[in-house]
Amino acid sequence: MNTEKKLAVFTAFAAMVFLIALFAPYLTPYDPDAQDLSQALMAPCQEHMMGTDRFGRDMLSRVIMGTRSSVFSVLALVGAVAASGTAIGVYCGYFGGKADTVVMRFADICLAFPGMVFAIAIAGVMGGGITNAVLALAVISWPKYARLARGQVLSMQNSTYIQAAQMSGSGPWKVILRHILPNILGAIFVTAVLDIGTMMMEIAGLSFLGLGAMPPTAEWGSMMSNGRSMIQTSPWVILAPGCAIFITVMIFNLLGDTIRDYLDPRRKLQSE
Amino acid sequence: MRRYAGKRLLHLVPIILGITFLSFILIHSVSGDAVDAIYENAGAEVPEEVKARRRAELGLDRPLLIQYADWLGGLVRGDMGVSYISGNDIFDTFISKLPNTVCLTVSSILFTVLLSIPLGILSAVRQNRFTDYLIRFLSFIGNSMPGFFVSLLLILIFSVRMGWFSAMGNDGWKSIILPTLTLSIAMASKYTRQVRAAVLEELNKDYVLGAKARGVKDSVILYKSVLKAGMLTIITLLALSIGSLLGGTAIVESIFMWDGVGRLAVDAVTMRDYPMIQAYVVWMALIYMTVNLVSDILCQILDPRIRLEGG
Repeated sequence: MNTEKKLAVFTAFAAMVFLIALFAPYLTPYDPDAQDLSQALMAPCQEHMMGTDRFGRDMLSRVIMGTRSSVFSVLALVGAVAASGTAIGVYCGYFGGKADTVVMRFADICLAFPGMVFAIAIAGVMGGGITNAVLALAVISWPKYARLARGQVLSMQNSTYIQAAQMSGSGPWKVILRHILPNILGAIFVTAVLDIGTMMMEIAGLSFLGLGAMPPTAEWGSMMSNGRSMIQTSPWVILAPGCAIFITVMIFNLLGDTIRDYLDPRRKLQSE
Repeated sequence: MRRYAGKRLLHLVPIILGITFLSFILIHSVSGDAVDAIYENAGAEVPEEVKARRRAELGLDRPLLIQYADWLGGLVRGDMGVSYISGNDIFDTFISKLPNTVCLTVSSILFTVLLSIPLGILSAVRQNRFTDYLIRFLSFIGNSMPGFFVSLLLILIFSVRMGWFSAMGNDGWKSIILPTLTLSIAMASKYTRQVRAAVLEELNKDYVLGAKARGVKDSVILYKSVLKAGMLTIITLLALSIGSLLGGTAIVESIFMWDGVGRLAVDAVTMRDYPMIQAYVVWMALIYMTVNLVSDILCQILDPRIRLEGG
């Protein structure tokens, strides 16, 4: 399969996940939060394709609803971090000076913390909730984008086309918006898409530890955490959300890899 | 060499100050009033004067920077206060759990190296053949599975179905196997890809072609030259991954009831034991930093090219 075809296929998959998240309330066969203790912990059967949890809630409905919190929170996280990190990085790279030194030192300090350790501490301090989990991960992830953007800006600042634009009277913001940003967005975009999978696993991990989504919200990480004690008797309580994370992460990873290959300039040279 | 190490150490000073200050502020801003927290479970209402006296005793009425300096001094002496919950000394508790986490980290890294280097080389040498596709497929799967899912799957397969290990709790030396496997599967998937890329890049260099033309055996080229050159990338990456490993152990430790600092931290978070969380963040950051420093210096020693550039 060539890269274009792959790109189309994986984009379609990712779009499907997004649509499931968007229309989740209309797709669930049952109310994801409706408890029915007479039907608790039913094995997968015709009525409940993924079984039920210990409160008798339909797993399939909860997994579908869970797509919503997972996908939306990860997109918000990656989008916010990529945008703010890039803005900071471009500003620091282009204008330099004291702001650059201060901000980049701060970024170094943020990077000196092992990722999840800092996130666990922040989420722990701020208390649970998926917003706090996203915030905690945002604090540790922006420096990556800031560094990437800054490096790109520095490397192109001395190129003739930037100098030409500056000499012909373009102000700094025009140079940044018209000439610098379009050139670095590709690299930022690839990094962002490749980050979606990892971030999704980290958000789910925080939820699993009880630092993310709070029950009764249907979220994959917390669903698995709640099902832990029932692993011996009713493994589907864990397998259903686990496979959902796995498949979604895989789709985004495949998409990221393909986009990277697609935008790689060497690819065009090879095919010629 | 010595000059480089010295320079690196000097650069670390502001970062260490930053790390500790950030951790201090982070916890200080929420725990805000440790006194309130201490008396929270006292049962009866504690009068304000008693609280104020206790605050003065603990030095919480002084300016923030003084408190930070004081706390930093304590950190250096290994005095980080006592746990809000158990009343035990934080530093002693932390140090007593650290060996377990180090043990788990080291065994995971060893297993990762044992797994990913041969697989990565094999994958590179057999590029675009069945073995390569299979290895890449497996590593892709391992890469897309969150650690907690892997650990639960391992428990499901090896403890529940096969009954080889007791799912949780102490099982002697056997209890380290499943957590190690969990951590290594994720890491090895990543490293196999990177070892493969590093080896492929070296294999495409001119000196390899030159050596081939002179009739040097493929295996000699691979083991004598290519591996040596590829090793550096791998060391740097491994050092960087210690960070994610240290964080990852938190989840895995609490699933497998492994008595290390990760589980300590997760418990501290659930019980809002702020000084304990603080100790965890600071020490993990310091350990991570030290490991990175050592790996950079190691790369210097191993690679004459960097040595020359660095002066």
